[in-house]
Amino acid sequence: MTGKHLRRTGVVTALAASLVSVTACGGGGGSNALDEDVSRLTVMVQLLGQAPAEDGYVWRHVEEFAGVELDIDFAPASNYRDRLTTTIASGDIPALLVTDAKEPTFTQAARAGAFWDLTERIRDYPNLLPAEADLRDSMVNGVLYGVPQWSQPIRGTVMFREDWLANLGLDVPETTDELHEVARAFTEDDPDGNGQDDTYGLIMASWSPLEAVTPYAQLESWFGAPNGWGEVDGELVPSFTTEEFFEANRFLRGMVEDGLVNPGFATFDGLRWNDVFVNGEGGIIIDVSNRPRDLMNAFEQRDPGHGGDYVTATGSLLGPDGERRALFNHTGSVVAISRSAVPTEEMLDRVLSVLDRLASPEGQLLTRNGVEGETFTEVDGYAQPVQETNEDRTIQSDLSAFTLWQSGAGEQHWLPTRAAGAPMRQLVATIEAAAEVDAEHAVRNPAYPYFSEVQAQRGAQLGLIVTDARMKYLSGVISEDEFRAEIDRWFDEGGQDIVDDINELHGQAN
Amino acid sequence: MAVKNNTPAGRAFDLANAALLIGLAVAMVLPFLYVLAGSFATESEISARPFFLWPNDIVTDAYAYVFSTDAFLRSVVITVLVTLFGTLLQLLLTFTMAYPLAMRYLPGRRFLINIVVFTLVFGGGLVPTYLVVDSLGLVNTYWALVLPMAISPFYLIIVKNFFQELPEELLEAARIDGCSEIGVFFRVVLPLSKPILATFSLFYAVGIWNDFMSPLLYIRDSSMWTLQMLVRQVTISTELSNTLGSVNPHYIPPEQGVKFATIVLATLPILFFYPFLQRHFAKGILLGSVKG
Amino acid sequence: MSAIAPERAVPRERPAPPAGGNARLRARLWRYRWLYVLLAPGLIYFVVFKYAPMYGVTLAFKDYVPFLGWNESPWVGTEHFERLFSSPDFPRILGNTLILAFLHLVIVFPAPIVVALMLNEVRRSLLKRMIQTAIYIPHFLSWAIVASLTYLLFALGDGPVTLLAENVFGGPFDFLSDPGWFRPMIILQTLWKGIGWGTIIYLAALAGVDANLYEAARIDGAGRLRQTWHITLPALRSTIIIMLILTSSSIMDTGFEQIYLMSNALNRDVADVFDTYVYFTGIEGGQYSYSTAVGLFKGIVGLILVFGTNWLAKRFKQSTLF
Repeated sequence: MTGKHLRRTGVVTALAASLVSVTACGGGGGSNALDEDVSRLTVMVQLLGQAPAEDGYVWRHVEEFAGVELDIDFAPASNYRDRLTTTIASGDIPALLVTDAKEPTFTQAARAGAFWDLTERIRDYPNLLPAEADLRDSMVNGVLYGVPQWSQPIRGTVMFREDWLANLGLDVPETTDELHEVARAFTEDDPDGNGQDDTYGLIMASWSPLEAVTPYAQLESWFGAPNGWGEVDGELVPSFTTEEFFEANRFLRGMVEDGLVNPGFATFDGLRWNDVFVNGEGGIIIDVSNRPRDLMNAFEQRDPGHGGDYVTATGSLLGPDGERRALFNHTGSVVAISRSAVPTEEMLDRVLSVLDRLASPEGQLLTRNGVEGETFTEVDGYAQPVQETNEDRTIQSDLSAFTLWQSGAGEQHWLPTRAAGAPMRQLVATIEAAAEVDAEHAVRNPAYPYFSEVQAQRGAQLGLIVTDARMKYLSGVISEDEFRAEIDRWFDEGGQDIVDDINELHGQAN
Repeated sequence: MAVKNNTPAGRAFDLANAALLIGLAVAMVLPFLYVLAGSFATESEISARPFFLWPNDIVTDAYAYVFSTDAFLRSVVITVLVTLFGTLLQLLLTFTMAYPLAMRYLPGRRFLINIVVFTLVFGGGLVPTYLVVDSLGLVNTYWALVLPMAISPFYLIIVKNFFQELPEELLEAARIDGCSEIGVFFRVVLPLSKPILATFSLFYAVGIWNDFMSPLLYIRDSSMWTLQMLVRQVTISTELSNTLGSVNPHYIPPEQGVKFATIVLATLPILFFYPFLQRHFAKGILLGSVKG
Repeated sequence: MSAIAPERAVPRERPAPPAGGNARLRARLWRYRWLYVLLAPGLIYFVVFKYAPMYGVTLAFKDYVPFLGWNESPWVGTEHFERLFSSPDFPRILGNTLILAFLHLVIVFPAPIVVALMLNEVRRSLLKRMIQTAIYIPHFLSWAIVASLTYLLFALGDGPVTLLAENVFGGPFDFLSDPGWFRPMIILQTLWKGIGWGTIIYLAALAGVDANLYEAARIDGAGRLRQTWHITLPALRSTIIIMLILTSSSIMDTGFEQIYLMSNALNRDVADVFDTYVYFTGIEGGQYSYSTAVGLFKGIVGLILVFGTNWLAKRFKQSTLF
């Protein structure tokens, strides 16, 4: 019986093994490979909204302008990492692949030679070359594995119920102390005048990763905590080791204890942020610059003609020391060029020329705004989109899908969208003016250019120790001493290795 | 079906039982009714009222938006066809494999069952499976939505156990009549298995219908997207675009309403599939009764 | 009658000739050739789609870099397992996973059986169908939707269910972040989503119960509960046991999406399970091999449970997988 058993197992194993040998080799060529003249470009990029149709207006115009046929694989952003992993594993990698330069699967593959090193070559393409500091952000420890993408450098914005401020005779706060005072007044002084104690000041959400423009990180930065990492005596240290970090959280915990923050903030879903603000439950949100417009739209729907009366916004607030600091919004996103689809340097240059052309002033305008007179008209330096018919709207949605694989992180030549209605334009102008001021006081993350193997492996799980402890501290579940003990635990369970690794990389770079 | 039992105790039992079940059904259907009501409500109403079953103003903007391109209808057609065809194929493969495995005298049966059980707990994982599908040339074809999960070991074992309960005498009689094993299977066994065929066609059909992982991994061409891909894209990307800050400011669709409308539209067709099969559950003769 | 007695009195094996010799075996194989023909397509499926990718299991002992592929990625022995077992989070995560698995087994698993029995007692066919259709609906809603509905209904302060609970029982309820409520909420969600769908298999099994059995029992003076106990439940026994054995194979799979969506800073101490741990340590960090190692560990536990429950079933002379 056993002998028979074994023999059959053997047969199956052999069958399986023969299949493995077929499948495991992967590598080279495949359907994504380009021809030598680069008459067709294969692209993989994440998709946020609806997928553009292949014969659509935008697709045709961009192809015509770029002079190549486009074969774009729009992969849903929700599971982009899965697609990235399987695509890289199959070896049949598209010519252009959009990814975060420090996504571990990508970085490993790039180091193994899957993508072109563009560190020197990028300088031959003026439209693709960003400012030096931004270029460093897009690199992996000094090596550039893709053409940098652009992102808005300043995004932090604080928004207020304008009508509540008016009812109480208050101004938009400029300092953290004034923020506290407005939050108190919004909570205790019946800002909506309904005679009931049914409002609170600040609306916080549960979304709280360490290195992003979250409400928590912004508040900490106003108090002087660094952006993710800071430099103390020549050493890079995580922001949560600084006293400013604790000072900011003491301030916020005080607001929570005084009932100035929505009670369920630790589980409050950021998706409902607008609802609570528009419903008049709370009056302050610390978030990013597109939200005030969403809020104003929501008010306009509820009270047509008067949407503009309800929302006002500002940028960063001055800290207790009277200094202004604003979080810099880093992006490490690149358009990587695969060596399997683009095997020779001649082809690489052709591909880069196409990207450079698309990143030229005319190229930017076409891919972001479309064609003047057909998809938009220019008014005072803004683009007024044409959106009469369903097709027009499809064009606008296709445009936003196309921007996600655009490179060209240097000077931006496209037109921002002209808001509908004077109040909205006023709001946008206020936000833009604040962002301009903040840009001069931007705080960058000095560790952003580095990719630490140790951090990639353990950073996410370890990071939860800190963000969870912060939330528990703010909710009053643990004391400050216990909070500090959790930070010590972060170091003990592997955080120290991350700090050492980052500092080693920092030392090598300088 | 049990016979009427008209004692007072029996009536009280019936009443309590029905009341409990109706309560349960209501608890399960209420959230869906909220989604349905929300799909017809204005955006401001959805944000202002935490939970409602009837919108104050009935609007169809969300549905108008969903149907404004042909993407939705196309994905419905694709999904229905893939589901129908895929279910047939999966049923055929599962039942033809389950029947021999139910025959206890079959040499090697135990080993074969072990092979199946092993796959219940161990799998090659995402990347190796992808590479196999890729090497067979199935990526970006509808086969990739059906073949990689053609037989669920879980279902296979249940079907095998149902077959084991078939009365041997019946099969023997058919064999004596000159049927080969294949003839026995198609002429005797399958007709006797209508209720489980109905059950597992439902399981497989819903499996294909609800699957978003396979299209996500294997389909590259967005014109080949299935319904669940579309739904997922709508329900998840609003959240993502908020966190990434790349909301398209040009045109604001009724976001929440669209989310609700796509859920309704993706659920209703498959929900109608069930009552259609239910008849087979009710009147089918299952295993036990023929043995009576 | 055999419907209520799954273990058969008469062995169904054909009287096989005494084993011996290759010729005999060949003859037997030839005799059942058509059965093997029926079996072949399914077997090919298992070899191609289930066993060919199985080499992936060995990635748990390598340091897999997707671009390099299986051949080029270096072997690292049991490094990933050592890291898993020595991780300071391991005891807590194992505990959380096992507690949820146990709750699944004692609450979620029997629930559809109870509902199926109740449905079986409903006399009015239309009512029965309507209830059935209604309770299947949640199966079609994704976890993302279930979670967002939960956050809406159970929100601290203004969720309709929270308000109701506070009115009835008094005192504040913090369903979403109180660690004590985490497991009840997960079980509640799982029940809500799956209880109706789970009844299908049992209702299919009940469709075959001979009506004469009930008639006979009624004449014997058996009440409804006793009929359920003595006729309906025994008719389900073999299905229940098979479902139990099959369920035990995936008992460590607590479902990533649901747990991930329901966990937060305040309840993570009880919420962390293997599936979420793998997400933060393996997938976020691009460590495919480490994720595979955790999956392999879960698989081994599942395999032990399947063979264990199957063995128990055999000992108690119940239907088994094998």
